[in-house]
Amino acid sequence: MQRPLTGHIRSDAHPLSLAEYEKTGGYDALRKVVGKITPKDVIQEVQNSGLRGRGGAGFPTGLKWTFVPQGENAPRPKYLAINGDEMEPGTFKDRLLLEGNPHLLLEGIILASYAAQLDVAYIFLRWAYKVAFQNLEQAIAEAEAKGYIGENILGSGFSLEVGVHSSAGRYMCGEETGLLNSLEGRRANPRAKPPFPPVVGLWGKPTIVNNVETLCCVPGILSNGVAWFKELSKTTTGGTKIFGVSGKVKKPGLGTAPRHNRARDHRGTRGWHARRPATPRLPARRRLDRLPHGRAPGHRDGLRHRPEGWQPNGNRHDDSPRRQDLSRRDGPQPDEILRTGILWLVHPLPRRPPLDPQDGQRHRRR
Amino acid sequence: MLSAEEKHQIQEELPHSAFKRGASIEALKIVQKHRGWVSDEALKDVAEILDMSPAELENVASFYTLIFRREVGKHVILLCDSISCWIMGYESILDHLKKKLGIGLGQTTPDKRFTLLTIPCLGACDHAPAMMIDETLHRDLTPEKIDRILEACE
Ligand SMILES: Cc1cc2nc3c(=O)[nH]c(=O)nc-3n(C[C@H](O)[C@H](O)[C@H](O)COP(=O)(O)O)c2cc1C
Ligand code: SF4
Ligand code: FES
Repeated sequence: MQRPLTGHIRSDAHPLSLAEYEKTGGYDALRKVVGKITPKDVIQEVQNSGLRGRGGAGFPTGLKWTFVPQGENAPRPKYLAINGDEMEPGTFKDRLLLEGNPHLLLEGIILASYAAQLDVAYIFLRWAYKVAFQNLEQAIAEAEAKGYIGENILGSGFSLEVGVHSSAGRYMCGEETGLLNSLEGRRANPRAKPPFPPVVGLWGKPTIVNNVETLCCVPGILSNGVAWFKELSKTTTGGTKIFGVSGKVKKPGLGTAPRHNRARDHRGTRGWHARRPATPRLPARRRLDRLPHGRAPGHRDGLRHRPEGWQPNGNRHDDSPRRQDLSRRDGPQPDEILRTGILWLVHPLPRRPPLDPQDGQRHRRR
Repeated sequence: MLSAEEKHQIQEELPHSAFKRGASIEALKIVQKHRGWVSDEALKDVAEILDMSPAELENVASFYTLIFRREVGKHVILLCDSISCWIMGYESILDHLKKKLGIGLGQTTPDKRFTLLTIPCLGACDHAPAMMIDETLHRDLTPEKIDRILEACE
């Protein structure tokens, strides 16, 4: 089982330094990509990999990046906001990445910013992550000294500023538009959508919001290729997922699973036998992505509008319920999506085939 | 009145954001670091630096759980009361803290050394129960461990 995101993290709680990270193949993707491959091709590669957001909603990452307006007349500066708020009780997967291998995240940030041509990146951290804050500041200083962050990165003409913001603690900061309000020094109330952040985000400028784990997947995709990433999982969307186990279990901690796995596939491994109910019942659908349990598969294909169409603010919206199938071969165009607004994304759960009355077995349909 | 040091640190935060108000949370945190909490006067002074009205800044300050608008003790104990810690014995830990300090939740000891608060998840669920005192995380808590930690706090 490959652990592309966490495999190199040291067990002694020390973060990998820049030199150590480079020894593991770190910043290879940066050198291969920035200034050498066009941003458009980078986005295409990420789209081909099928990478989906690891922050909960599972939106296709490459597709999100295509929404950013480009060209002479595009508003500047454009922003990247990295969502490391992680306030969901029982969730601590981003902490491992932030504390253990900050350069992996930084490389993901640089690559994402290059692909979507963004100027400034803010890492938004859960308030309690003090160690992560220090490790990141240290890593940013190292990367700046090497010329990986700052003006004219590796002579490519591309420049990027990276900063860290530590939250003052409120769950709603994790919601992407609440996060942007918080970065603007406001209450983290969510904003009405559309417009969506890639078009109108921080200070009204185009802004991509991505989760920490999502961005950590990017260097691997670009250095090892789409085929490698897809191989990691049996789902068509590829990759692995970090998940946490805590509570009354023998060995609490984090694990990596291929995206097709379910918690029941892990029962009994790594000593995760529950002494008492191990993990709380999952109250919200989005948590299924973070803590796969018996009925929760990884995201599958077929992202589409919920037929009855709810707006994120709870209102119904009557001209929007057109079904959109993002796995359609030509796919809806970005502006088409922004116009209708993606109202609710559903990841269809697999239906169990019905019992056959003849032999009492479940037969898979061909 | 803000001290020169506080003003200086706030000024240093301003260029990181496109508009001054973007530094408001950082500024409030700086004041809190120096004084333990944010008084009305301090809030007014910070608002002036940020070109915000005091009411606007108060709106922000009162939203975030970790900006204290009332006086707190020298050390603030933030005990996680979320699910994993709760399963792993939050209640007995809380009882121990209450008994040891002689105060209830939200209160400050008479000698102004400790304030006891609860907080949602600290992201240390794999080492529950957990608490944070000032900037330091303490994990896998037991009553004995708590005694030692509290003694180490001046
Ligand atoms: C109430 C609420 C809280 C959220 N909290 C988080 C969070 O803590 N971390 C996170 O990455 N995404 C969180 N999200 C999801 C974000 O809004 C957003 O979908 C995500 O950061 C996008 O990144 P991704 O596409 O890389 O997943 C939250 C959403 C809601 C509605
Ligand atoms: S919808 Fe309810 S639970 Fe969610 S952030 Fe708002 S108040 Fe909190
Ligand atoms: S539930 Fe207490 S630290 Fe997460």
